[in-house]
Amino acid sequence: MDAALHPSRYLRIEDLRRLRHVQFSSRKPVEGFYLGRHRSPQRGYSVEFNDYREYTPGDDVNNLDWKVFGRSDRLYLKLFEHESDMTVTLLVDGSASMAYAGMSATAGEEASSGGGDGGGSWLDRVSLVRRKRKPARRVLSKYDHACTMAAAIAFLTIKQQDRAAFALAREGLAAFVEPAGSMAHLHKLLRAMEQGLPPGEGAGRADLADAVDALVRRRRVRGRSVLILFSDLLEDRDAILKQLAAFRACGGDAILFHVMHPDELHLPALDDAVFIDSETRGRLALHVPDVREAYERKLRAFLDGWSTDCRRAGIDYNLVSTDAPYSRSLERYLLTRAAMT
Amino acid sequence: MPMVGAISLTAPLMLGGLALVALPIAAHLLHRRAKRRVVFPSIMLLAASSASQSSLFKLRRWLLLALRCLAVALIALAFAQPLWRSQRSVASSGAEEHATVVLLDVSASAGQVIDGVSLFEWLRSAAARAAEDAAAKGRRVDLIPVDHQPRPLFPQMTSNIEAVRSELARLEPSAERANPAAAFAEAGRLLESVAGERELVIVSDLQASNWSDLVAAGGSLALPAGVRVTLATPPAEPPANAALVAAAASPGRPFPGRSAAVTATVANFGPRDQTLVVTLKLANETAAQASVFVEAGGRRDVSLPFRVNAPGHHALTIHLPNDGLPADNTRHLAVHAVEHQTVALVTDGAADRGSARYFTSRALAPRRDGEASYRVQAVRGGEVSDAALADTAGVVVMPDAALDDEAAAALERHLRNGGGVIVFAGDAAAETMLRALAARDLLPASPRGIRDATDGETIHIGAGDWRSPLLRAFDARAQEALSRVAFRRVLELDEPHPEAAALLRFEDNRPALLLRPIGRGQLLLAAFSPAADASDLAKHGSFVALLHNLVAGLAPDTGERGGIVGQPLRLTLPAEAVAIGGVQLIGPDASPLGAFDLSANESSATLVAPRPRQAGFYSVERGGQTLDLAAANVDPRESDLRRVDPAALRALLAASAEGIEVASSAGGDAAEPADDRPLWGWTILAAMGVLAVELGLLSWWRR
Repeated sequence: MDAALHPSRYLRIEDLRRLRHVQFSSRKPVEGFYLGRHRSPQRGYSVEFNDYREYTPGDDVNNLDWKVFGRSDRLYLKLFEHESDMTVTLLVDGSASMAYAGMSATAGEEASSGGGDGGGSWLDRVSLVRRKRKPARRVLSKYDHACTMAAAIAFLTIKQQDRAAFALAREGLAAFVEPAGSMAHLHKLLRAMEQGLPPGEGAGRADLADAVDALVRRRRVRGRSVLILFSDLLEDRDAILKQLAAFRACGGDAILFHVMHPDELHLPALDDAVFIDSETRGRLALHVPDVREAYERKLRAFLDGWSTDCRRAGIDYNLVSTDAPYSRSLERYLLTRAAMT
Repeated sequence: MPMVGAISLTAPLMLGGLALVALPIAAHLLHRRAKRRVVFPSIMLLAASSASQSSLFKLRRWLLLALRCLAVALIALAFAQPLWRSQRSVASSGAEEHATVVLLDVSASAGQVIDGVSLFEWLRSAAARAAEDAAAKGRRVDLIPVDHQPRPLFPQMTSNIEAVRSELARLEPSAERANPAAAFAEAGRLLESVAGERELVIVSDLQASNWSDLVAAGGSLALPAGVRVTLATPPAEPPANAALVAAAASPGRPFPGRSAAVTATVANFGPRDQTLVVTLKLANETAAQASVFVEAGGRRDVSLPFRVNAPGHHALTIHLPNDGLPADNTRHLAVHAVEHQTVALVTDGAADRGSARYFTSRALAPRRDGEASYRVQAVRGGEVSDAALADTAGVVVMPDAALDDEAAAALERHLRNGGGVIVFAGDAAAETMLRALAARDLLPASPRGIRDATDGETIHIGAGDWRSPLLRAFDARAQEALSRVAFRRVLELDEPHPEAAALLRFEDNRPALLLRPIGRGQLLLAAFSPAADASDLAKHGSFVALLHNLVAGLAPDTGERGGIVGQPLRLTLPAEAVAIGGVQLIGPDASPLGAFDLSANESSATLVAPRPRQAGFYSVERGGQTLDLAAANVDPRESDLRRVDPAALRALLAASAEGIEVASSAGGDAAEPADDRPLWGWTILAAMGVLAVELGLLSWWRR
């Protein structure tokens, strides 16, 4: 394929055609630097009337409402809504657990999904031989899936003249690309995503709470902007929600995409296996059929916990499975969100 | 036999199979190590899920492992054939050691076929069951195959029933005759050393010809006291059987290119008359075939002509159609064809024209070119010795032979060793010779004296036994010609000895030619002389024919060159062959036999195969040349399949020593001890049950 048409493994234009009529917007007013199409807490120059206030010397007399002056003999200024551009920060979990692409992901399969830049998930580097032998089906890791969704959102954002930023959470805030609104910037974001591929073993935890805190404290994100978090959320829920709640308290809008692999949602079809924790390297020998039921029970509770707590905190929570086409998941979310806005 | 409480193991070596328990354990360990490793995003939820499962899971695995080990152990135990011992068995197998010896008849007759099945299979089965029963009772066992020289299969009695089974499976009927007396001696020797209970099981076809000698002798068998003897009686009546019981070539040493004949004796041991086809094969090609009618229980000779084309050793086989006993339907006969044979002419007279010596020499060797079949070697009466008679086709004693006692003794030895002697005595000069032979009691009839024909009258042959093998060649015209011979002086003889037979008689019915078997040989006494003054015999061509037939018929080796399977077989070879070495004894299967004895004297050497085991031809060879050929045949007594009366045998056994208890068994129906119960069936069942439980648990837990 032409590189121009496929600027990155994470952005495929043809997948986004069905999203071209969808607009991504914040459910809360946002603060921006430039005039845009999103509601802003600031008042400015637009056709949408917002409020009146009494005239004070120095105000622009062009905004005086003369009809009111004629009726009440008092000078009022007409205030109009200020429409600002939107800043969307895409925070992607880059922990080792996000590198999981499934048990069936052979090295060759993984290789096909790895770019030619030396990146790739932790399975990418296992064997070069198989890579040459068999052009395998592309197998996406959770990180790949998350980045693909993030890239799509960045594309939509920039396409509608807004600004997008990218942040990688690995042992805290590992990388950050400042927000901007050009196509060149989109390429920059995509490169940052590819460079942020978790290396598998030794990638460690994401430490999402620290990452969100760092974004807010270092003013990487403004209070009134949109923060979209892509993660498998295998961390302390309270800490993460606390930081997100703080962000929301500053006026931001938080969206959470919970990315899970089907193997996590339904344990793989195995009898006996030794499960090795990708982050802690802890081992657990199991007879899978024996624990399947209990696992699914625990998983349901885990997912329900996140969903409930996010709803309470006013955070959009979306469970995404990597076996579902990302574009469909995204479309469904965006349409739902548009309906609620 | 190892015992665990009241359980004994029939095949304890099979407990080695318990080592197979290591298999499920190894599989368990390997399975643990071979688990698939899965790098999972997080085991947080898995750990929480398995917290309550792991201990139960481990318990299940250990339970499954235990069940699998138990199943394998039970299967191994089943192969060891555990036996639940009754109180009586346990008590009887105390400190003392008990033993059972099984005598298994492997004689040629054991191969008799009843309804298409070899009786030996039944015998083998009965012996196996007897051995297994004994082993199941904790006894040590030994097995003695009863052939010509019975020997125990195991030098020491054994508890290894598997080894006994294995040896039994290898046994086949031999071609030998059974020697029950020797077998009893071996069994007695084995049982004598046993302190506890002693048991002897006899598994035999009870062939009368084998056992009747033992029963007839009625003596005590070499069995220790207190032996329990079980006699397994065969299940069915013996089959009808016809056999070739003898065969001889005439002449014993045939001349190449001249017709000869094999006289085969066919015996019918069956209850019905039979017409049998007898086939003679020379070098595996059919040479002659004849049909012979043999009445039930009777014997018939059948003559089968053949002709060899070259001098040397020739193998002849005579065949009968297959019947109840295949082993005796083939008879092997080795003949040695020669260009010339030597006839010793014992005479002290001159070879004057008209003398008996002159005519006899001319009749035996009419051609002067050295191509005559017989070469005449004149021997004086005083020079007759073993060396002088050795390797002669016949001995003709002239009336003028001055035999002394030593010469008569040499003649007697020659006769007893199978030689043939013709004595012409129709002359007054024969008195010395007749006296010497009479002193050795070699004459077939007592001589009265010389009788001269009265003037103008002559004496003629009046009758003859023309069916005799010696005169069979004389047809009616030859008989007529012989009857025209005029005798003027003859020896008057009394009536022949009971063993003797008159082949020819004069017109006055007095014996003219008498035949008497002596030892393995035969002596012919002619009451006439070929001398011109005694008869016109030499003027007639029938004299030549008569003399040649008599010499050929009396020639040594008219019997079979060989012997009986299982008994020493003698072959002769030139003495120098022994000196040079490289002599090999080749058996019927064309493979060299290592065991033989070789001895030599100045003139010849003898090779003795101590125990030929197969029927067939045995040859002595050196450098690819056959020095001698002999045949070993099945003992004709094995062909008579009639059985001895079991009651008589039981009586003999009971009387042979004190305290002997005799019981009968159906043999093939021999069963396990009535009060000991085999457990292997239950053990297998238990193993299957354990496996079923294991599979059930497995499927339940995986559901």
